[in-house]
Amino acid sequence: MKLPEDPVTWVFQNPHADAILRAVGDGHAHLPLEVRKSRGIHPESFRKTVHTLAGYDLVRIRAQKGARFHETPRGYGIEVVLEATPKGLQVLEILEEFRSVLKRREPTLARATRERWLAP
Amino acid sequence: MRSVLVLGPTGWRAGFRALVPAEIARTLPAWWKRRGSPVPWPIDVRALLVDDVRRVGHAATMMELWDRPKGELRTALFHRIAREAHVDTFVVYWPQGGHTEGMSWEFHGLIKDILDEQLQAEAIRIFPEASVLGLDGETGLATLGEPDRRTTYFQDLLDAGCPVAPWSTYEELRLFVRKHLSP
Repeated sequence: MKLPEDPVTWVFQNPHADAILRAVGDGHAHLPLEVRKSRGIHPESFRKTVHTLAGYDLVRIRAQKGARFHETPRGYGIEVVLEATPKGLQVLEILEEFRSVLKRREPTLARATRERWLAP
Repeated sequence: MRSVLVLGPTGWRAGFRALVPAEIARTLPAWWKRRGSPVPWPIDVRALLVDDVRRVGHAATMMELWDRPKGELRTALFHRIAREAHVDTFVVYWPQGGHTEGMSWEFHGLIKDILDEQLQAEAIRIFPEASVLGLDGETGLATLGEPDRRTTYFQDLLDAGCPVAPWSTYEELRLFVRKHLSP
């Protein structure tokens, strides 16, 4: 599927992107495995979503400080962490504003909208 | 406005069957004399990226657009371009199957500049094809490189903190380059 020019539009359309961005949006570095498992995302969907988040420059993939290399079938793998970029934090702020608007109007929302945006 | 030097391979490895959509060949800039036929070469894609970056308002160049006077080493040319074009951002296009030998040399210089604190890791934006960056959702381990191509040292770029943006299609590549250079 063709990606939109606007990253906010893409994140709005992609619940996994929203979930990952919220998980790493506290300004700290997070282990991908913990983010994926805490949000219950399939490994392949997670990989693809993180790739696109990094493509839009919303999330940074970087090696963990002092990380060690591990042998993998693809060669030596390094432990990486995910963190939100300044652009990612801006998008997250927009999403949080949107959530707070929805929250105020919760009784009037369709169930699907509530489930998509207001579920914990 | 940024000043961007677009780096990456020139050609495809012998025997590698590259898949570059026909649209790329059709959208090459008029000022560029295409090298690869029928399949565009990585150098052609780099010219396209230079054109894309210029269209969004930045200055952009690639080494092949500069004349190298007799006697000037390629390494010296690289540094001269960085100096004379006031390069502040290096965009690295890394498709699977490209010749990585030249890139390897360029990476070496850039990593050294990072280690010497002459360059910030943020200044090097790496755009590997998705198959070049392995992010294993099961283990959380990442690999940057092409198996059996002796690209292990390239993982130092991840270690140094250079932003990486893997892409799956050329449309994504062009979009991601634009996004990484926009405010």
